[in-house]
Amino acid sequence: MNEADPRANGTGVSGAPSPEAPRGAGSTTRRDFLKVLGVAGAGAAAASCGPPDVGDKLIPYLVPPEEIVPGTNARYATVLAGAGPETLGVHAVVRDGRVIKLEGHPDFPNRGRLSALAHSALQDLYDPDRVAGPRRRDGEAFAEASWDEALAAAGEALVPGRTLLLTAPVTGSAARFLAEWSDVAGAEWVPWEPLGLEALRTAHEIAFGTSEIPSYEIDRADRIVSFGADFLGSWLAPVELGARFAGARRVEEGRHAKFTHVGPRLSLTGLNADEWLPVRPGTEGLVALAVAREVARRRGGGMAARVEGALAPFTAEAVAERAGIGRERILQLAAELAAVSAPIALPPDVSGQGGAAAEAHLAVALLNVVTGAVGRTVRFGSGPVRGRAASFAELRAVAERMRTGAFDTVIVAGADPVYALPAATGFAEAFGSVRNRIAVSTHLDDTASAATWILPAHHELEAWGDAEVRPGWLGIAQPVLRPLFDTRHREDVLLGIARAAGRAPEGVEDWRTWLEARWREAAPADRPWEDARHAALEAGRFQTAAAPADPAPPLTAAGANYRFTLPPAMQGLALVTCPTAQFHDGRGANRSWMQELPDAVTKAVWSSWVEIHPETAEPLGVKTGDVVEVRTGAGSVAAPAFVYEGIRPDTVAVPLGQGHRAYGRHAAGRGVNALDLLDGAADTRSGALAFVAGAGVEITALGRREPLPVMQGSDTDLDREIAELLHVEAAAAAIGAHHVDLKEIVEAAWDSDPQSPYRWGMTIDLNACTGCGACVTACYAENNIPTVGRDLSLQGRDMSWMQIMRYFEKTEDGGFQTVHVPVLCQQCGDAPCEPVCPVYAAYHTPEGLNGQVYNRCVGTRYCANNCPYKVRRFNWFTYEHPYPLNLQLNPDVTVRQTGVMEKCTFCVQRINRAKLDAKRDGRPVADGEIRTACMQSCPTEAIVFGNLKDPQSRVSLVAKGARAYHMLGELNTRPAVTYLSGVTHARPVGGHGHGGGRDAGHDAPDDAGHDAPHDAGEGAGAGH
Amino acid sequence: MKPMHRILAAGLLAAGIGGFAPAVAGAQDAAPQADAARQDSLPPGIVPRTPTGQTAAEAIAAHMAAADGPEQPIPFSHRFHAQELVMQCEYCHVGTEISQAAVLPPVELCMGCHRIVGAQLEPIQRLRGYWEREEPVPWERIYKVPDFVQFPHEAHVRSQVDCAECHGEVENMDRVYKFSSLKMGWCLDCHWQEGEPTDVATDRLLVEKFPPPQSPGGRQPAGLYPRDIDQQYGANRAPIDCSACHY
Repeated sequence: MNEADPRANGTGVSGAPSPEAPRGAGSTTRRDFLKVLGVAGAGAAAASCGPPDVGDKLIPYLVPPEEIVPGTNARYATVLAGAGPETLGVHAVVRDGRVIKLEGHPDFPNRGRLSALAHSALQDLYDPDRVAGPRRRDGEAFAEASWDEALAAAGEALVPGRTLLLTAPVTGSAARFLAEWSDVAGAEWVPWEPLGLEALRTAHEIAFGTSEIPSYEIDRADRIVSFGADFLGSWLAPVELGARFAGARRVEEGRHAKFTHVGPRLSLTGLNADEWLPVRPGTEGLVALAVAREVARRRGGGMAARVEGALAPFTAEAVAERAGIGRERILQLAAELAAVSAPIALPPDVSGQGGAAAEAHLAVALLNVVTGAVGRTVRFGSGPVRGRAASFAELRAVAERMRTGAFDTVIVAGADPVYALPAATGFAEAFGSVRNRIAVSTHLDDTASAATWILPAHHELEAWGDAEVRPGWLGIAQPVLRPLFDTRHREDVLLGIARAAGRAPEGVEDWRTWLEARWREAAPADRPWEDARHAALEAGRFQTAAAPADPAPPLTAAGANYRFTLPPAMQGLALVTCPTAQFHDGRGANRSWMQELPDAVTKAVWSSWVEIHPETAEPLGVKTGDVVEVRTGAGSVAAPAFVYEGIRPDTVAVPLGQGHRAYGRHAAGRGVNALDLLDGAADTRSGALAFVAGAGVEITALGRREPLPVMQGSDTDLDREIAELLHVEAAAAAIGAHHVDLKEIVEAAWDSDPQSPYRWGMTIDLNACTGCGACVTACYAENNIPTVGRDLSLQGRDMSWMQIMRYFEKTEDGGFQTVHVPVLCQQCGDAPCEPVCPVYAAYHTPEGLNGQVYNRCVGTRYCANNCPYKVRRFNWFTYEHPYPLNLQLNPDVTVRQTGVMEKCTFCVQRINRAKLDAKRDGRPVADGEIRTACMQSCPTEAIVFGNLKDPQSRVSLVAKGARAYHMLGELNTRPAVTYLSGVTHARPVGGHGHGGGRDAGHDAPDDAGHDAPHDAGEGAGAGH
Repeated sequence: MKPMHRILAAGLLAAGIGGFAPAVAGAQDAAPQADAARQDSLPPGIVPRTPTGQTAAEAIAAHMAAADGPEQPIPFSHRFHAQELVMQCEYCHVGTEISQAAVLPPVELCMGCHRIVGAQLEPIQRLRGYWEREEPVPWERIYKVPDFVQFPHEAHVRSQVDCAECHGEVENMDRVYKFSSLKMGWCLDCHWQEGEPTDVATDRLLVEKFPPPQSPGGRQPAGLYPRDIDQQYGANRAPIDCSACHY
């Protein structure tokens, strides 16, 4: 190892300012600074020239690990089960013993792609706020303890029959281990997750006799309807489903499945819909029933007759009244679904989960039956495997038993119920009344802070394990670095506790040995175990025999004859609480990458907010950033309003995931916990929590402002050729008014050295881009981009090299369509930034890049002022990466400091690496060999990178397509980034689509009360 | 894969450490023996001596007496190992041809020889102390490029740049010192020579700023790559573009 151990450098944990408090911020004024510099600066400046003569220490390995050559990357295959809604296969890129990047595993359902939340698992691993060793409660605080003490104390507390083990749901070997452990130890094991799928499973149990999750094969569909599921952001499997969604809408391949979103609010997924049915919250299932009834009526046949009884009361008229939409829209949707061969309907997620959650899911299942989707686009037997999980109602019952003294000891491992259950459940008080509260967690989260003992567990990336990805498909998790802290495997902690109590399962030495034995049992017997093991670790998976399953189980009689209830029409304001892609169930809240990833809907960072329709906001006199109080029977929260047309006027929405009391420096005390608004009512059938409040919701303006850091200044592109949108017929007819002349980009004198074989270029398909933000976070991870915190974000000083602008385009029917435009440095052939740099720090490389030489930059910021795309970022401070976050930094990229301009480099470190490899092999760089971090991560493959000088490269072929255009093309900057217009089934105003905006009141860039004052010089993106 | 250096280590030990021959030395050279087992490997009163007749103790003394370079935690003499014992650089610095880092030998590699060789010497006992305490040796760093420079060793080693061109004749250094300035002009002295600078503004700028030396000479093209590829892709020229190293 050639770099000194950072711990040896004295980068301690304590006292290190967070990224939110950059060095020097607020403490010294610029004037003071100049005064000081005048006195002391001369000597310091003279001494700082040239490379340093004396360095630090060179620390060699004691014993080098096999396979590792210092200074080169090693890649390990592993699975992440806790990095978001889905189990992801990843390649962990390890340099000198520390993991620096996560990349998708190509042979897993995520197809080599990752979500933003999954990328941020690295920040979870390297979180300075992790629990560093066993802790014992000492009054209000915790004191350090030894493992021996901790295990002895926990062992003593392990009272048979009076102990509860609460975990997240697990699959694979861990499920078997925990079941055996709790049997022998005499504990009751309850697995549970906050955004559970109990309603979906109950509905499938009723309809098909199986509680499994089907595979939603959207890519096979020719018509897509989502009854509220945010499947591109937070529901079930966003990476996999995102890829499938894009697969159904490849215009060039002659297909573009129309997508309708049914729900009270446009989520990330809703913003990608061609059509929006804004129904009242909780009525999604009713609409599905009415549509199913209508489709059955049109299709006729035996199936229609079977379900007639169940569907009869749900006429379009009756449902339209309760759902608050026109009946013709229901009939229209039904007619379109009946006319196609392979439609798919996706069920509600928790944000559409009212009091009758299971019925809503059952309604969607019935719709999929009558449209013939089951077995075609909704296939059973090959869907994601989820571990057994208790429903919300079951957990509420557990809390009640805690309160009545049924347990002496509660062990919570890998869950945070104190945070993730509504306060009305009373879980926190019940937990506090238990004598022994043992947290086996990585963080001091809300639950662990209330514990009596903390026995910290390894992070997923430090641990051995496995997870069932699909039936018979065991993904293997191997540690990709040595544990950073004094932690142990969760299972070893439990074993230690049981051993101390004298009740450990027999013959179990430790978790790893036990686990290997399970793998050995599962491995195919046709070759030696060592070979099989090696192959499995390399591939990240074991394939075992799976029971053959029917992809289309028949509808049960119970399902066909189910008596749905028609709830009374709701009155007044309704509340929706919704998960976001960045925080999921709250686990993302202490990762600064997630706090600083603009929300796909509001583009707000580091905040909670209340989404409110302009019609509702106006009588209250509320603009974006005015604090409003939302009050229900269960409680109230106060947060800044976000005025948003993508929500029904009679509905307000509050995002989930913020408002932690503990958990760490970024999460604690930030924003509000939307769960405080829920009364803890549960669906009687499935026991699912109602995330929607339909009655007694009040909203009041508090008369003060709390600026909301919204990272986009204008909601429209002001007709400036930034976001382009084509009607699907126009796209199919290949009308390209802004056809790109590739020859001109490649051959123009300034663009690149005529002798260079390369001119790097990129295409971004706005039809594929869903705005999920995976590219943005991948870029943070790859390029050592610092996070700046809320206050600097408010000043427009965020450092993101890539921003996803979401522009609203008016449509002829009076609605709007959304175009998500990733904006990064366009690497112009004729770049405005270059000639204004007085020191040649911004310059043109022979391969056509706009180079940025950090060590030459003196920080005049002329380049940023002259950049029409506003993609340059200035380091106003030296941002810190407190230990151990600094271990994540990519050694191939300079860590920038105060006074330096930076921007997207097209991942020049990857370009140079590929060129070195090509040189070594005596060949040119092959097409597809270089993948920028954003391209690599994009679930929908919207981004293509390559050599524009090679006429056969993929990027050249795509850039010559009919939808190609250049952003702000009239400026003639000859960008290397070519956009492909978005495509929609709605009709954009003005034919070609970049017309209008939403409505007059929202067009002006300084309207809507956005508080981020993005001035031209240091702004953040083309939309400002 | 079995690491190459382990195989090499075994081979070298078997071959008797590069012609390391026992020789009779004065009694004052015989340090007290800490480990009776290790003593068995050499007859009593015998100390190692290289073919040129130098003892390890003299090399250690020379390291301590050297004028340049920082004192190291262990008085390791590069001259003694590289010249007297004729060890190749890559024997210890494994992987320089595939890694951007010039890899520092792990303590295990040192111990591969010094479990036996020179076990009675005080510095070697110090080395053993590190090994037994499972601590890496905190070597003083001599060469360091700033963080804003990306320097790939592999590219230079593969282009047949001799180690000595940048690091000097390490085989003549008892204590290694910084031989090159590592300033950018020094880098470009070599880089610009590799071919014709291309006709774009920045390259012209660099050539103006760092004019080529008046006397021709320097390295010849490495010839590592097929000629036609050089012509076709211009791969022969060492990069003089800023973004080749600064990013």
